[in-house]
Amino acid sequence: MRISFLLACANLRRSKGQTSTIIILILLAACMLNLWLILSMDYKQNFDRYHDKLNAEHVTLVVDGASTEMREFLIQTLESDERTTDFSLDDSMQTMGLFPYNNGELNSNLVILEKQTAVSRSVGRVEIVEDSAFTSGIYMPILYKSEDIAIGNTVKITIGNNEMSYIVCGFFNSIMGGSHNCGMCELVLTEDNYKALAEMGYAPKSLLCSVRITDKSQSEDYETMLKNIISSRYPSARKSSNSYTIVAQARYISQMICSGIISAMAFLILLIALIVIASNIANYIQENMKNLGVLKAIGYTNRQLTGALILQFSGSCLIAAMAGVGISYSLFPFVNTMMGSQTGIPYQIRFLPLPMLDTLVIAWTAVAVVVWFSCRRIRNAEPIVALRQGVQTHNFKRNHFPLEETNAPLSLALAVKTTLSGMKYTITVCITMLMLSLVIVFSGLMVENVITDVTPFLNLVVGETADSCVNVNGAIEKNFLDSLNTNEQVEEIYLYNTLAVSHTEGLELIAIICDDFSKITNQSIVFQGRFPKYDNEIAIGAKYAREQGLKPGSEITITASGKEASYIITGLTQMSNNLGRDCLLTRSGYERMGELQNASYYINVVEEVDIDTFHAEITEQFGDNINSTISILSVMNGFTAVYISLITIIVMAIFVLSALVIVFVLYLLVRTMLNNKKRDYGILKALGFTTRQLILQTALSLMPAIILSTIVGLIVNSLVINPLTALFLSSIGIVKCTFTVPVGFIAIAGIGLILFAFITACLLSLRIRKIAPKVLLAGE
Amino acid sequence: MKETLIKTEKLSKSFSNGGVMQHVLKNIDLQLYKGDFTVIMGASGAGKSTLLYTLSGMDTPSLGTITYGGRAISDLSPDELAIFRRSACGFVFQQIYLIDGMSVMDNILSAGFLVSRDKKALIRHARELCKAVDISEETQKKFPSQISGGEAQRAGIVRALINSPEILFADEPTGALNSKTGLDVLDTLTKFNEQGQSVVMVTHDMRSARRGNRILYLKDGVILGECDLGKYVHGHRARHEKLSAFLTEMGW
Amino acid sequence: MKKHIFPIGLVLIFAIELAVLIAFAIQDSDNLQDAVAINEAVQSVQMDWNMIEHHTNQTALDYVVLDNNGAVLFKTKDGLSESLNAAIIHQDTILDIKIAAATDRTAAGKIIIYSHSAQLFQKQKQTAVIIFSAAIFVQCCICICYSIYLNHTIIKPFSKLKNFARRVAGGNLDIPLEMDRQNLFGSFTESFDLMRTELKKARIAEAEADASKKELVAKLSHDIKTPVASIKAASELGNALTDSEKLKENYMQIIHKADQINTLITNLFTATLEDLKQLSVTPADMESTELKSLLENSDYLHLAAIPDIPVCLLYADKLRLQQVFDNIFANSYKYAHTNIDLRIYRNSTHLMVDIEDYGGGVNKSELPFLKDKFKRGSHTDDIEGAGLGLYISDYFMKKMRGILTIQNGCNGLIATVSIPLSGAI
Repeated sequence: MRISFLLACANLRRSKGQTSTIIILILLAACMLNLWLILSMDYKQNFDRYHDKLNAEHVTLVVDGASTEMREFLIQTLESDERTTDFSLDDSMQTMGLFPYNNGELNSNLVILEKQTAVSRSVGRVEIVEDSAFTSGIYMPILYKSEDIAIGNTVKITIGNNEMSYIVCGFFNSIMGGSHNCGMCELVLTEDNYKALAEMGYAPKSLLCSVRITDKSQSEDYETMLKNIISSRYPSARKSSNSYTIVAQARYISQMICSGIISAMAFLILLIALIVIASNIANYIQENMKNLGVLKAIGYTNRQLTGALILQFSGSCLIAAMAGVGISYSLFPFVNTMMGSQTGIPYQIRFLPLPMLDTLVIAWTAVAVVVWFSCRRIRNAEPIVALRQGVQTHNFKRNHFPLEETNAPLSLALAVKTTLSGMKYTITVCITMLMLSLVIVFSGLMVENVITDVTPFLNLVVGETADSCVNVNGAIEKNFLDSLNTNEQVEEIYLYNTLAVSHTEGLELIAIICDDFSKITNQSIVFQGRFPKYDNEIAIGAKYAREQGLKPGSEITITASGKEASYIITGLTQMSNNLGRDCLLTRSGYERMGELQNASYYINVVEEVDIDTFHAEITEQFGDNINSTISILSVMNGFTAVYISLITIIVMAIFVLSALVIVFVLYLLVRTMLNNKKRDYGILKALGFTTRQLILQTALSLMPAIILSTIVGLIVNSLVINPLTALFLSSIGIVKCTFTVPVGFIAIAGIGLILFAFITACLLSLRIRKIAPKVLLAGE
Repeated sequence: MKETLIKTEKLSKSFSNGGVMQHVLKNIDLQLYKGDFTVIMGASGAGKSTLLYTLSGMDTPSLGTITYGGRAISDLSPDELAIFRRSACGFVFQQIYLIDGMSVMDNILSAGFLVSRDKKALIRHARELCKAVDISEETQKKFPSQISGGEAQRAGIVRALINSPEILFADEPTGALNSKTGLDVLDTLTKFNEQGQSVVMVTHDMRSARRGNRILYLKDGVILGECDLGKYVHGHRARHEKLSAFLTEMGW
Repeated sequence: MKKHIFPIGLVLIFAIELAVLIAFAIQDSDNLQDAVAINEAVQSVQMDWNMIEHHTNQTALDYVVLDNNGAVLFKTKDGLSESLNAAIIHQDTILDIKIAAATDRTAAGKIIIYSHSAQLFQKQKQTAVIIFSAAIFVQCCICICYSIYLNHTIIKPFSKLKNFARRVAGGNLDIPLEMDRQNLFGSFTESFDLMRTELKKARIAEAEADASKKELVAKLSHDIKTPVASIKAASELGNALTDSEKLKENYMQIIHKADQINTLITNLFTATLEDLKQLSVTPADMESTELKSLLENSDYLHLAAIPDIPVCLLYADKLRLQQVFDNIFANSYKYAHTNIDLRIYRNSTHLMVDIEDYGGGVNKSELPFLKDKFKRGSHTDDIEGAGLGLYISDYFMKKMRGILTIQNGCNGLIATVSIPLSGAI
């Protein structure tokens, strides 16, 4: 061991630059690994911790109506189910409503509670995290805290066509109702405001029912069961609900995306570091074959020689990994703020030993294994062979590229020769560039489909968008349609109504009902099969279909309004806003079960029409029969801003990392190349080659591999990036991505990458200046 | 009167060896003439190779000046020196120093393309030279590790001559060869000298030294003496004795 | 590692082939009916029932529509089963067409959806044959490649080895065995070549042993000196002790001859050692540019301007040279105390430093004696001095094989220090 340690120290001294480069790569990898592990191992656990802390419910149900009879029916239902452990039932108001969010509007199902009730509920209470002296006003979920929505400011809440203004008194944290991602968004009003709103009657009274059950994994079943029971008793009452499983997923989408990307980057960098280590060791062995032979001849064992290398690399790796973990903690606050704007649940940063330990173990093991494998040449070499290997006497090479037959400039021709003779470097370069090109294609995809134009991303997430969504009373539907079809401002109008139905052998599904699916703008909602056309056809969410083992052609039975009907599945859909739990039905198909009371229409207006004026006009025309009007774009703006900023940061981080990785890898390659070819460079200098020619030649020798692998990588990755992204997003219900691959951006980025690599290689080979033809004299 | 190619004035070369200055060449005043086969002799460590490399612009002198065709080359930058070496000097090394990764022909052409723009003429020239030194077409395609030492050294000579340099510098060209192949190499050098090629050769081997017409004896960094042997004639006894006498006088 | 690549590759190819065949064998032949398409056909027929003659097929299926009486109302093409019995024989799908007439949905007719399974089966057979032929072709290729490979790796190296053995037997040890370590016999053939180099080494070692023998003889002769000295001592003792004249003469003879041997050996092996001088001068190479700092040190009053120094390598003792300059400058300061002119120039053997002041010089008659021990100039009585400075400087310069000359110039005394160039003397 002591001897190994001495050898390791000697090796380290000899190759300071290379070791420090490897250390930096490992450091980066460890930093990202640890971030990933924190995000995946502990960040989500935070949800459970808060859930327990606030004694939050597993299933939430809000039903319109406040009669004692309904209350008793609910209590009876809940108590009769043996899975129920505890529940609380309180008065609330439920309505669709809007409020400003992130330069846009948030449209959500609002559940309005009175402050005292909200904080004192035994199950599912809200926790006031920021309070103030204001006694009359509103408490908002902490997620919506922003410059505009701050204590003392006035927030405008739009309910139907009425606008309320409240002073923000503070912010609260609610696990199951603190975000639009929960399916319902709780707002807490002080008593006076609550009463005033109740008297105005804009928002119907409702019962908020929060239930804790014995086994939280059954929350979805319980939710479906509860809703079915309520539906059969009160078919017309408006209901909304959520369950632990869904909320836990929905509030952590950004955590999932982010940790996915970070883990991918971490493993890419680790892989590059390992390749670099492997080629470094191979090179070390090549250079030191003679010395190793001498050491072997005087009795060093393979174990000692290998041990020294393992000690050297894994030791420095361990230190680097620890430093990386340290850096990850200094980076984590940024990630936390980024995540917090989507989850809305505050996360306390603290030291986590387990992720650190895992990071260290992963990094150390990977390095040790790679070193051990790379050392097999040491083990296989007989001492005498090793000694003789110092001068490689026998080899058979073919001259792939005779100078006399080439028309290429001299530097280029010699560079190609170097490339051909150094396959080891070529492989390292190729793998690095392949990975970086994946990274580039990914960021290109993100830039094109999220940052510059968010529509493709939106289509993927929410399915269909239009300019406006108007909900009208079923009674005037015909009038409404006749009027709007002749309205010049309207470009297109179609039914796009969302409501909940149940799959008899499964869970609740969100049904989208449309009179004719061919009118829908985003025809890629159904990515396999086709839209339903006839009344016995249905298309369902791909994720749900996979879970239930359903395929196009299968038949499923759906219940709504107490009636059952069976449908043939014609296609699979993907939308993430219901986490893959949705289905498409034609209007005639739905009407086999029940009538639409109210109908939501999506309207695309002619370009110059102002959507708010348009809404005002039709509201005036139809009066109370218009239930609500929503400007979809302003709603979308609000929540896409979060994703756009998230993706922008990730893309920038990716670019910086790529640049770093290129620089480090090239540094190592050029260093080893210069060391190995010192003699050749000496000879060439003696023959009259200038430093500039040799630098050019060195840089060019790396270029074929760089250019080829970048091009191949970009092409291949462009082809596989969509399925890859889909795989990545599969947990939010995306099965097939149809993002456009930005050819221009990728081509330019690819050229940039190649140029960057070339310039870096040139700069790194400036060391050639120091090689003088005199080195040849050393032999004397 | 012979035309002077290279002239040195008080040329000195020193190395710092662990803080102690070591003076390898001392105040060398030397003129090399066109067409000569100059042989630099001396014991090991006398500074022969250093003199050769300093004369040829491969290394810069510590003191003194070297002029080549009226131009002081001792003050040039490394890159300027490289460009000077391309066309003016050819090198033959003891260790031969062919580049392992390139075939024999490529080794030759890699030097040739530095100067010549006319590819076809260059390749023709290379072929002629190869033929002259008896390197077969087949050998031209092989790699340095696949050919014998003698062939490699002759290839080295072709590489040195490909740009038709003014002077051919040879550093113990037979040092790494056995006697038979060494003779071939010497014959080759003699032949080119007879065709007018100026040659400067460093050696500590009598047999090689005989080929020269001007022998310089270097000792401790100083030219101790010089001897004019006249044109080389094979098996010329008097010439041989003259050389022996000179060397004995020099303390060989 | 390299030699495993081929077998591993071979196994891999076979494995892939096998996998393809197995995958093909257990492939779930997708001859399930397309329920969605059938539904579409049925639905579209139902919608068009009242004007079935205008019905167009919207699916990829082939079907025939019959009414309750078995009459063909619509067919997508000829050659399909046009009656229920024909449909049953052909394994076609038969479904009821129901139309929503007023209240109940009654069967108004039948739709027969043509089954393509026979064609499918035929197609599968073809695919199977093609895949098998491809597999056989690949196998053949592998076999051919392998035999070429064997020829290249085994048979060729062996024939090469034969030629090599013949050469070695013939005594030609210079030509190495050309071989490819990549091939199967790489290390095997390499050991043959190792054998050749070992043989060659043995020959060289033999020659070296010869040379070292001669060296040994030379060494031995040196060792003879010791016994010769003993012989001499013993003879002298004998000479002193004996009384016999004859014996004495013999002893003298022995002593004489021992001396002679000793002298001979001494002549051979001893070098004359210089007497150790008290003032050692150890000249070494120095660069002429270093003179500048020496002169600056000596001229601490800065009376002289130091000119450009010709670049060359000097042979001098820096410490002693400093003392020489110190002395010359000190003398000038003492006796003349004027500005000093410095001239430095070089000839082929020496670098000359002329140091001239404006003191007018000395008497011509005194010039030759200035460098002598304890000699001083005539008008120096009131100035302290021992008269040793120039003597010692002269001695130092001589020791360095240099020269110190003193002469009168036009302005004053000129001291010329000639420092030898390295290698010139």
